[in-house]
Amino acid sequence: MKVWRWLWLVATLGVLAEGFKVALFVVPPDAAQGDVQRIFYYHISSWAGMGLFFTLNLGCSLVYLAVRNGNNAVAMKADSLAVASAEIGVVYCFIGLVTGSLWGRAVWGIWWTWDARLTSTLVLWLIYVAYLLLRRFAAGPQMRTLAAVMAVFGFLDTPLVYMSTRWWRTQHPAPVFGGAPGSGLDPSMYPAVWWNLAGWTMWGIFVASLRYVSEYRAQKAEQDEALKALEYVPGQHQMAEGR
Amino acid sequence: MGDMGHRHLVIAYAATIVIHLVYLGYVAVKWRAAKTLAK
Repeated sequence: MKVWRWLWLVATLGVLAEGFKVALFVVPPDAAQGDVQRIFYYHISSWAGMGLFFTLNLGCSLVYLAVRNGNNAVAMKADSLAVASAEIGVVYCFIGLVTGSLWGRAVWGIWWTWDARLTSTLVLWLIYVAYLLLRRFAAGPQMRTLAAVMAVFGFLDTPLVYMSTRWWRTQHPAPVFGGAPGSGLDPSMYPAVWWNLAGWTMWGIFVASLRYVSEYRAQKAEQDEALKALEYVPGQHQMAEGR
Repeated sequence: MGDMGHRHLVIAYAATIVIHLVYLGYVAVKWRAAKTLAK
């Protein structure tokens, strides 16, 4: 692993530790919910990470579709980054669902409800799980193109998730950021939001960069193997041996 | 709130960290496999 990656990891762990401390021990508890509201700081960081990496997956999928027949090197990089970003996006989405469910059980008294926000998020998670399963189990040269097309259409659910609490009446709380007048957090709580947003985003970038490199290496090795197989001509080989 | 709220707060933070570490383990396995493949 390169030096800058180690430095990035050290900085990330520092920011995450500060975020943990500020969220649990520094900012005041919510006046209505008490300490359970502190779940929000990890919950919203997970959704931010999910939004970031699913958007990156969309961008990479579009690049792959645009250049796949013309620039193989760029296409392979875009496809590798698409896999890495989809995987970490699925992880963030899953954590968002788990932390939301834990908060819901403590505050609402139920683990789950089929309202627009929760349902559209579950559907989004399932779409990207299906994307990863397609990549894992489908074979043949068209697999990557199919996956990229699926990613483009799958992404359509992301703005739906974001807007669901604005468009429909949901049990899920109204938007905290950019919501109606009077919504939002008390300014004393913002440090916990910013530290955790920064820390978990940095963590996602670190893990996605590792995953990208490994996926790119695997695809490159697979391509080199295929090219080597094409170069091997049995007749020529026998003639060379005969001489 | 009360006990359940505190319990769920601890579980939420622990689950977040554990899920990320499990995925990091998967990424490490892939990293090693790709490194071997590249050699």
